[in-house]
Amino acid sequence: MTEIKAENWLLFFSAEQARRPAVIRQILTKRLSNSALFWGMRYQILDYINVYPQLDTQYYDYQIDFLCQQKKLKRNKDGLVSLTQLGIANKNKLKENRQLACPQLFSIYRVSDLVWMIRLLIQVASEASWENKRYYVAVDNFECQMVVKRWLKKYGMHALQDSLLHDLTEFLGNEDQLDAWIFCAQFIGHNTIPLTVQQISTLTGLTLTEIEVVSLDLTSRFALHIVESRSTLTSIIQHFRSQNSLYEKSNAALALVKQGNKIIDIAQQKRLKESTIREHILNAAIFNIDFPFFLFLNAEEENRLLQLLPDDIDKWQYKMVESEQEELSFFKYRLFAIKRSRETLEY
Amino acid sequence: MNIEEKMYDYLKKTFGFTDFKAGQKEVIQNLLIGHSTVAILPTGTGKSLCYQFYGKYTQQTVLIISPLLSLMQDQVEQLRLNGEKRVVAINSNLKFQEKKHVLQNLAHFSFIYLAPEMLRNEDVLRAISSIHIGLLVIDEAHCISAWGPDFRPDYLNLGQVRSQLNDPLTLAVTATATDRVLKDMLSSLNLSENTKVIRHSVDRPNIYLASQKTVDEKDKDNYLIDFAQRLPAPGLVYFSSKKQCDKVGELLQQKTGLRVASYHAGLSFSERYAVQQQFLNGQLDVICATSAFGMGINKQDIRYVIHYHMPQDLESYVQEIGRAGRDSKQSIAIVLFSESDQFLQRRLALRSLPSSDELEIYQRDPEILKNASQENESAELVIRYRQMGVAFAKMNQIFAQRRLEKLHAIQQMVDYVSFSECKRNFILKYFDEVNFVKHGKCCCQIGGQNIDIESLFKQIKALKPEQKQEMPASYQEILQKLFKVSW
Repeated sequence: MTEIKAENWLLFFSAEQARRPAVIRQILTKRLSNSALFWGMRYQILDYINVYPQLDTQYYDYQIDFLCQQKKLKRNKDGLVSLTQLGIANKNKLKENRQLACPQLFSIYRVSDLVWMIRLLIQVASEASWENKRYYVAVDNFECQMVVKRWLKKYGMHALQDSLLHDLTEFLGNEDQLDAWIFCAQFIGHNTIPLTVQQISTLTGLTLTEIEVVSLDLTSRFALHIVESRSTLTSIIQHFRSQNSLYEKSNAALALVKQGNKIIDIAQQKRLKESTIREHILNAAIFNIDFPFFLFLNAEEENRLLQLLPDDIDKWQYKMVESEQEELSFFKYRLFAIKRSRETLEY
Repeated sequence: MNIEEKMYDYLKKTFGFTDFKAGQKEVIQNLLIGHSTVAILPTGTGKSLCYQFYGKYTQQTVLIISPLLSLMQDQVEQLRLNGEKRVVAINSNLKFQEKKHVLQNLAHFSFIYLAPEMLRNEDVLRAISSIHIGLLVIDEAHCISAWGPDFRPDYLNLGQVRSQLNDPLTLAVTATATDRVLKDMLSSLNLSENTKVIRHSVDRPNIYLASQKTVDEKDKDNYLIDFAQRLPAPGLVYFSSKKQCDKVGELLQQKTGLRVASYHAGLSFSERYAVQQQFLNGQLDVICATSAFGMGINKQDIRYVIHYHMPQDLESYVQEIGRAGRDSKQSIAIVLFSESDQFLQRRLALRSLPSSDELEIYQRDPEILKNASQENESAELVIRYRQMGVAFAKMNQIFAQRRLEKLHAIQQMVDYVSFSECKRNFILKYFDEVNFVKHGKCCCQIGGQNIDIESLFKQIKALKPEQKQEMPASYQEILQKLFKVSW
């Protein structure tokens, strides 16, 4: 994606809840510690994991400072940032722009690669439709080229043309006409020269970011449509599923706990530190809506934590319960924060 | 049929051309009789056809060392377009598994493009040593010379690599080389005395040479707008910065109503393809570009090349203006320059080389070097030299020399733009050419005289701006066209 304008970060901030810019950055770039995940959950931005993997960290920090200077954001003494009145007004305006309808797809699929994959499929199918075998392949992604070659060997060119046209018309039929046009205007094909993002922006009056958002949004949802409709193209999309080792490790640890294993035993079995297993379990508590909190926290511990901690979970600090750290470890404290968040936040 | 007839026959059958361009036939003939060759041929003369012809004609594997990533992929796709499927590019764009797959199947490919830094990889070296290389091509061979402006450290090892490959028949190609650079090329590549040098003049008589002194950027913008309105399109405007390229491109479109697009490395491969195709198809009047534009683009009727920033050296200037007037019709090359240009170019040139102080810090603390290499070009260069086993002291010497060379090259450019006599002869002298031209009114601008566009382009009229671009077809129509269907 091209450079995001500073203004767009306002969408990730709130006037009521002061937020850590670093957490937002970690979520967008998929640098996921348990702390980032926990705060990402508190900020209700977990759907945005990996939406902007190439984000330039330094530039992002600079942009947040810039928004503070412009008095659209304000920073408190702890470094937490919230929207000002001006920021709220700007955020509301931004909300009228095009947004990603399913940002969570970015943590499931490598969407930026799918953009090239779909464009390559279109070009290959288009040239074949015009019975042209010699053409300049305008997608230089070797992986995509290999994937399409393998698929064609198995299913053949006719299947590609038929499935792609069928899937596209079915999918785009339910989309906004202008968005569908933006998506298609970037396709390369036989005697079809695409438009650049800049040209589409000039023609439509939308910003560059909006054009890119539409492209990424429709690409990701078109991929989902292919999978859900069990199209023959599904295997191509599945090739671009993200390796989600954090999610897998967390669920594996949870499964072992559910089977009655103790943390210390899992650590030995996996040759990992106990603290690592605890972190995996905390992650699992964030990822899984039906997480069995009762396996780790009893009613008495929960009551005690309730007594020691204030109502606003964002104000909780472990030092508030440190006096009882023998019984109430950080693990239990964080687990309880996740549980309470689940009970109080809307999903 | 004698060999020459056979060559023409093969050219027609395989490439669809009836004649060779200047220099091509001599290069191929030399290769066919087994002489390694250095080809110094101006841009647009089809240097790549020489090795493509040789590889196909003799059915031998051609290994092409190419320093420019974007050019490499373009050449791969161009070859595929011409029906050659057994072609591959090995460069940093390949992921580990992909590279492994390619190396395991290397013998399957007829044309192998290789980025020079890949030669540091032992697996790559082993793989290319295990196959028979019929022709080794060193593209942009002037990069091998520390005297040249585009010196690439990875090219230093090419002589050694060549001997590891049992000194295969070699073709070194470049668009420009002074005698000093040529000498360096021959010795660095360990080319024997039998090596033939095919050299054609850099002179392009149909390109009028001019420069326009400006006070500041606003003044430059005004001149650019004025030239674009008066000159016949299509035209190319070169910039040293991507940001400026976008910004001025937008301004030019607004002020002139011409169809303008920008082209630089910040665009994706597909976007670059889109701009190129639109330009080739006459859908654009002007391209605002960085040096990333032009390689592999063969548009015959480009009428002008304007440099918004003075380039860093005459080598790249001559290459870039060579994109104009390939149809032999009157064309023009203008450099817009202001006093601050030389400072900008000095800054850009020196930024890419580490200073002695930086080298000292890097030597003391490798961790700092490692971190810095993620962010800046000059530290990355130090890492590369370290990987090649070059000591810090030696590096210091090399960089000092490079700095001098770069500054000297910029000074040459400054001298060129402010030269009060024939600019064409200035260029010919720089490239050690022996034949000079007789200055005429279509040759170049002398001193600060006005550029008389109207009389230069009497036959060709400037474009009237097109009507505002309409929104093209609906998405359904796009799909119908793509898939050749009707609903």
